[in-house]
Amino acid sequence: MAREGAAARPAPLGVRGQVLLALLLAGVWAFWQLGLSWGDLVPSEGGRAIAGEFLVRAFSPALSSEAEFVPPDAPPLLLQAWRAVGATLVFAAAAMSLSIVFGLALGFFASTAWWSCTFPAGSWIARTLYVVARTVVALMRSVHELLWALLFLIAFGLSDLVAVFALTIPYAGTLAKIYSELIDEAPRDSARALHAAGASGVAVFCIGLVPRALPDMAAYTFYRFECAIRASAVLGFFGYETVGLYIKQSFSSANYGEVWTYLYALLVVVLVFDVWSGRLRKRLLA
Amino acid sequence: MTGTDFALEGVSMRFDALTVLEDVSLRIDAGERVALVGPSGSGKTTLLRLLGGVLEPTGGGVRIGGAALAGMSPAALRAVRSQIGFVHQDHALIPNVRVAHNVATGRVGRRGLFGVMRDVLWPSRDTLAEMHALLDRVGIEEKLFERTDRLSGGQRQRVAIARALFQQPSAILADEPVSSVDPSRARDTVELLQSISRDDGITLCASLHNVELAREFFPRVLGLRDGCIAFDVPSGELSEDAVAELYELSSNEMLADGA
Ligand SMILES: Nc1ncnc2c1ncn2[C@@H]1O[C@H](COP(=O)(O)OP(=O)(O)O)[C@@H](O)[C@H]1O
Ligand SMILES: [Mg+2]
Repeated sequence: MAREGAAARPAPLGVRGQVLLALLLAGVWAFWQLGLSWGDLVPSEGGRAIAGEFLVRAFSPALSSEAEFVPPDAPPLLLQAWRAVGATLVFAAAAMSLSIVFGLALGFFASTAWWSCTFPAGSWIARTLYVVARTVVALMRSVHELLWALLFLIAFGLSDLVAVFALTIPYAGTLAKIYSELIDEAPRDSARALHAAGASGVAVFCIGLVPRALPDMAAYTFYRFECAIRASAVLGFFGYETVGLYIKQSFSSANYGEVWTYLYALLVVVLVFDVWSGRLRKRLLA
Repeated sequence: MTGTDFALEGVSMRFDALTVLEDVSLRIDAGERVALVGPSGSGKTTLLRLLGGVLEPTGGGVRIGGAALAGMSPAALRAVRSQIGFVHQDHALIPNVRVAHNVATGRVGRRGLFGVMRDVLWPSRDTLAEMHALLDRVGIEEKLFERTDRLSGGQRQRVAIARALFQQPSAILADEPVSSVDPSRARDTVELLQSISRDDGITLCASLHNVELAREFFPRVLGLRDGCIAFDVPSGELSEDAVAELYELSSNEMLADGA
């Protein structure tokens, strides 16, 4: 008995502990490799002055244009901010709509559950298609949306549709990955019941599995929508008419009050979206 | 509706190295009511899954309604399964949807994916009336539009039965239908299954832990032990000795216990 007890004593550091330790060491190594010095965090004299000027304006955002020359047909600043934020939302919504459609389709194919439902177990066709789907999804995700935007800008020039696709490609990839994992991790009991009632493989998947993953899929999609709003704001830095464009313009002419106006407008939109999506989620899933 | 009949012919079931059933032969006639008793791990669930055409035996053959399942096309096999209402031990319901939606999924074998979608999203007046009648029959009519995970274990059990009935089955296979309810409800549930089988003339085979309930509501009791049929008798002839022997620890289990 005593010998059995000794054998059963767990190792001082389990597998999980070893992985955590390795990650920690990798982090320390990365810092050392970059040669970071805390002194870099203290800005230069001039930088400090600009930063101070900018930060102070947080308390007094501009209510009308601060530019020295305002074209006579230019809309008032607040209307401008409203439109810019609206355009940001429209980009994000268009990209998300496409991403959800492609994400669902790719997510199904990238899940093991789909192939095990629709193909006989162990079929090499299913395994090949699964690997293809996962590779496509990984490729879509491996390039950041801003990099896609840059590439498309060079290839196709400034076009709203192209900007939407720049967001859609990595977002659809990310949604597909998360959807497929949620579906694969969903409990299988209702799928078993559907199968026993004579359902086809596709029906087992769609009725027995997907509803089990749906609440988490919806939650993740809302989170991704928020990311899309931010990404589409940043697209403005490339010249698209989202809020980033105006932030960049105001910033480069040192109209910091205007910058804050735009930032606050974006903040309001994100907050409103957060409240709205929270309510919608409760209504949908409760 | 008329019942369907089942036959196992020299059926063996092996999971890798583990032999769960060994050369089991058995006939269940149309409209018969059979209780399946036996200790945990004796193979009751496995036997029911074989009868339901969900599991393919590693040896021997299964016949449902006279048709051999071996070599059947997938579509034909699905058609056979759609005739059999399976009540799973863990209910296997979708928790985050309404009761009506779970009931609607019962008819998936006949209606297909889009038929079920229609019954879920936009049910016809007749379908709704049918669901109401079914829930009334299992005693929870007021719960039709309740979210399934808000129900108690006993109520979920009834939803699972209603889903199986919505299939318009010619047989019901119930796996320990009373394992999740208290004793008084257990009686009600078994009585409900019995009355359904009797009134609709459909075959019923249920695994039970409670031998008393088996004796009271089923004309035929089948004892399973160590992968073999220990007894198969009319419930009137079931002796206390046979029951005691069935549940007695088997020799290797005693060894495992003593160690
Ligand atoms: N799919 C499976 N794979 C491997 N072993 C299984 C599987 N299903 C059942 N078993 C084993 O078969 C034996 C009988 O199980 P089961 O039919 O569930 O018994 P019961 O329902 O009487 O408790 C158990 O030892 C169980 O572990
Ligand atoms: Mg069991």
